[in-house]
Amino acid sequence: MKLKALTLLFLSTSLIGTLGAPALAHADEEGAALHPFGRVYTDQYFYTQNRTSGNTASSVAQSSASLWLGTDVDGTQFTHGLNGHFLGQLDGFLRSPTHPYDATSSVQLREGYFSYAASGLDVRLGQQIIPWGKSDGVNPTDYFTAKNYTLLNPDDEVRRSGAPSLNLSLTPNEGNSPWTLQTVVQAYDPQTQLLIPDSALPTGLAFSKYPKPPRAFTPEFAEFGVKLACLRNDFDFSISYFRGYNHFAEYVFDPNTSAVNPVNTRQTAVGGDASFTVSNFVFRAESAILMPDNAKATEGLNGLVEPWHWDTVLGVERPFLENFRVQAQLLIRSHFEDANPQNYTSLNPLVTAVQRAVGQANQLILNYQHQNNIGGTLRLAYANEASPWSADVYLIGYFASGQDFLLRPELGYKFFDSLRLLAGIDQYGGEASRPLGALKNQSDVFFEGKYTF
Amino acid sequence: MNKLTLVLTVLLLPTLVLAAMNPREIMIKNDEARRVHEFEAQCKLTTGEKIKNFTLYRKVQKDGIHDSTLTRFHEPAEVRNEGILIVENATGRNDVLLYLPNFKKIRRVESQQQSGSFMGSAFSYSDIAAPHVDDYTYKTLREEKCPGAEASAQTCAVIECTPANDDVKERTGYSKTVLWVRLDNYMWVSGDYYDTDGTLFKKLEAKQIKMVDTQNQKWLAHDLVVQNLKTKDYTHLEFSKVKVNGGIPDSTFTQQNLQKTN
Repeated sequence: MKLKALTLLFLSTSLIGTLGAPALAHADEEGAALHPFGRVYTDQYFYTQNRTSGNTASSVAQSSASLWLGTDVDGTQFTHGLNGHFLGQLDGFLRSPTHPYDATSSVQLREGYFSYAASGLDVRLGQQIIPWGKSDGVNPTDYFTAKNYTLLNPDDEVRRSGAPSLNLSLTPNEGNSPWTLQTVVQAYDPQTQLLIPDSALPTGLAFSKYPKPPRAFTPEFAEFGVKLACLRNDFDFSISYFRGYNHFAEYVFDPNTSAVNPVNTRQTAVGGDASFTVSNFVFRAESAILMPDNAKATEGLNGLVEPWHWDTVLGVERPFLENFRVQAQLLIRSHFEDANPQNYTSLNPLVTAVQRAVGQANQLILNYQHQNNIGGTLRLAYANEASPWSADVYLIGYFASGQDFLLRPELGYKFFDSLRLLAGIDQYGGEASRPLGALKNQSDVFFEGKYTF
Repeated sequence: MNKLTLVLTVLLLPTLVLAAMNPREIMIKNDEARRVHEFEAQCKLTTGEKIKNFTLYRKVQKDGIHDSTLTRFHEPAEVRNEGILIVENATGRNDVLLYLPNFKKIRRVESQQQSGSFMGSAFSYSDIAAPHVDDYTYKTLREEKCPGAEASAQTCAVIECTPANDDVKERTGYSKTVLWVRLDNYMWVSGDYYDTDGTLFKKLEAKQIKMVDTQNQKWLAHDLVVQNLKTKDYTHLEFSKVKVNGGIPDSTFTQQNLQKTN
């Protein structure tokens, strides 16, 4: 029944997508200050490993259909520099690993804000996605957004979410200066949901796997960040400060209820990024020191939660032949302390055992098993506008103090500019005790159809 | 007799001018004729059945030599709100920045990529940026009747342009260019482009050449057709709703503005 409902959802969204856009565009020609746009897409993910849920083997990781509908609002007829941007998202899912399949649907405002720009001042107010950072895929200075990795999608940006924010940018000299000061106040922290390996969570404990979003709209959950950027055309760099929450939840054992709950803790961060071009090479660097409040050694939590750490990404990219690009990034994770949960002791041996088990889960999920770890990403892409085919191979992994990886080859085909099919594989591998290696049985093959209008 | 003198003078005037002007001087005239201080236009880029619509803003920088160009795409939906900022500089290596709205991020485009296809068309990024007199050395090959129906009554100087240095060669991807420059208004109407191996691989035709700034005697070709002889692709670039010297602020050509999509 639910499958039927989802099929109907997909068909209806497709119909709206194909028929609705011209109608709205027509309205625009008659003078309305609306510029509608959107996309409709479906994703099919199948496990490549044998997985069981209950007594039944399940192979469908996710079957989904989504519709995005949005409009830009040209408000300049009211006030020069006034605009709006609104994008709604309707999703329907069939998802494993639960069985019978978990069928859900959701409607959300992905973005919805008004902006006003004049004389170097740019103000945006409303639901926004504010991604910071220059690197590809791994962004230590991306303080404000979150990603839902349980939502399987080949486009990382689809997984990204924001929150209601006030985003204020000031560029001196009527907007002509290379210097820009950006200040962001976000109402609450959007929460990242990681794919949690089955093996990560200790058995016999009451686990609440994910936090309950959204957070309340209160000063307690507000986040603040400021970035000073020098945006020259030949090079750019920025420095940033953030006071808010760690968007990656940590598991915390509550001895009073004997429950383990995901907790997003307050943290402070400082960082920066830069990019420049030398001949045929583009260089990018991004780095941040992240200082969660609960990770002070004096609080006796060492090992149970992620310590202060310094994340750095150094990347280089260049084209080769006519239609290929290659990009390599070095990932450096350095924790200020060696955080081993086995060092935790308490008077109660049972509590000690539980705390150590929870700490070990945190270590695995948040990747702080080693004080220092070095990894990398490698991307090889083929794109030729004259050909309907495109290809992309992406590899991310850690190799210095523990080896694990995710390899994602993709092959795309465009029927025409707006309709694209994609097929690919997510292959996790490496040591089963590492974050990506532990996801080996969640490896999948996927197919996506996307129509943009 | 007087009429004959007049006719001969009109017919021979370009030759006399050509004799008096070396090719560099002709190209300086060309630069003066087509270098509009600033303009904005709606552009339609057609390659085969694919059509891309964008707005183009161009302005001469404060040095009076180099241009800044911003293109903002409207259609198709797949590239909606993408922006490309091309800022020329004295080093010969242009800064090219690409805004990707899906990622809300700006990406830099390297030198090699600048000789690559501009949004899947037969034009390259360097074709979209205007050439500069000092970037080339010149040789007059001959003079002849201008090619194409529109300027067939005019005489053209056929000028070979060779990159003055390796940076220009790498950026453009051309080892030389041969241009047909009208001697009445100094606008070029046709061009042959040779790749780094010296093989002819692009032919460019400029049509609908109209004066867009009568006060300063500036001209603009409203229809450019380029053929890539290797891929056999044709691309039309058509300009409409051209606004000249309307007061485009310098801040239009900044990264800050590039990432403002509404």
